[in-house]
Amino acid sequence: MLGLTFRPALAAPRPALWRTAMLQIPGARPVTVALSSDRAGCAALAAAMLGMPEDDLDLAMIDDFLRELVNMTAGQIKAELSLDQALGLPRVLDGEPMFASAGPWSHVVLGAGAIHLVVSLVARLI
Amino acid sequence: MPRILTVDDSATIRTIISKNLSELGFEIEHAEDGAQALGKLEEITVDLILLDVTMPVMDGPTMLEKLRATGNKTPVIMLTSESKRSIVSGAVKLGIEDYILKPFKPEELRGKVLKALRMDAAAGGATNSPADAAIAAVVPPTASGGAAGARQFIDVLVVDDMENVHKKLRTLVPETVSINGCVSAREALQMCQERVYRVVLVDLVMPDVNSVALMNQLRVLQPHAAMVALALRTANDIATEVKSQGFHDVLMKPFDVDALDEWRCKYFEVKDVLSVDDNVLSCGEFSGRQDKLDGYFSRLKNMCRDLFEKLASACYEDSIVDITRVPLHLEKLPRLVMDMDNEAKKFGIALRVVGNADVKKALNALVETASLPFFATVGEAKAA
Repeated sequence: MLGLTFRPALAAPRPALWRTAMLQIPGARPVTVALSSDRAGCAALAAAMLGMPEDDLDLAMIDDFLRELVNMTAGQIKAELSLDQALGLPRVLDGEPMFASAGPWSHVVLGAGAIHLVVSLVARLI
Repeated sequence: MPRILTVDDSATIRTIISKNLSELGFEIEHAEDGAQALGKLEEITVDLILLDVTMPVMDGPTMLEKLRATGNKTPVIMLTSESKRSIVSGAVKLGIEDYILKPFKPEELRGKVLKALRMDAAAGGATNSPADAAIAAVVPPTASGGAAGARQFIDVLVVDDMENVHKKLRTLVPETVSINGCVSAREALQMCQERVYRVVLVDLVMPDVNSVALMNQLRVLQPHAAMVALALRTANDIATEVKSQGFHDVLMKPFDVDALDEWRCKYFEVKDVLSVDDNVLSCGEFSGRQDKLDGYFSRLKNMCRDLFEKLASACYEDSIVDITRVPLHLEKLPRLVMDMDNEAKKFGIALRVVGNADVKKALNALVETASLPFFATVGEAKAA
């Protein structure tokens, strides 16, 4: 839907987390999935998905886009982990305090050109 | 115009759906959750519902259950980020037409929506929806239902409310190019479901038809066809405009023979210019205006280049070129043969030329072509 291909960017530094969208997958094997990016990354991704110029995006649209993206990502992760558990509702929050206070999180930085996206996972509900 | 209700808490998804389906000419209504959608359905009738699974207030499966409990049988396509079997199988029991896993590609969304609407219309108005007639007008029922592989292949479909356009084109294009014609959007959609076209010509001005929306609908049914707009010659800068609307190209009316010739060369293999049998290339006659002669020679040269490459990959070491019917132009003809020989040599292919005495005389004008093996007939060249 984005028309972009992300690959693990192992050498890339973790971008500043401007926005984080988080989603819980409650059940026998609880998992919390989070997606974060910096301001430029969020705007570029939202613009790509919505097919509109970055200048026309407002914050609500970017947040909504991030919620949808974490929802789709969690769906894919759930399928990969063969979890027979329903997805929770996504929400947007400040990522840094969450990652600092509740661990241990696993983070993977993905890159598509200049855009970097951090996928974070923890095996518990946050 | 068929109306579709999209029920999703994500404005992003609603925007993407709206954008993709509006281009097909559908009217889109929105609801943010199941409860809002049920309220909306008390006020309006829709032809299809695109329903998200996970939503606040009321989720998709709950809404679907309540909807069916009221006797509403509007077709539903479920959108979900998770392929949880229990959710999908539960929804299937409640009568969903299909489901789409997010993230989805626009073609998948368009294809499934058209399929769901077609099934509904083919059911003979089972929904009693006031918009059934509109659906039938835009998306007619499938007559054959056959796979694309089993469909008849036709070169051109002409969609123009003036029947004469199709007839006129038929007189100007060789019989080797197969052409269908139709005068309405309904017929065009029907034909595009039943056959496979290489080029679809769509008139830009048809009564009560949005040609761009129609072209987008036809494109879903004919994803590999070139969509060409038919425009009046008086339209200014129409080529740029139609391309921005999604057409590949534009063809002007009334038809100009030269423009048609160029159009034909662009979209079809022009077999009458050069035909191939085994390793024998036979050049066809030139029948256009004299000022198009350069184009004819240039096309022959380019076509030969491609063919020599194919012959080489098929392990041929020689090729016979029959130029008997090529116009006897004392400058262009030897140059063409020289270029052909050069191209053939690049692929390790030795050339033998077939022609009459006048051709031989013309080839003697150049050292490069005078020395080529020359024969009066293809049979002689083959026997050599």
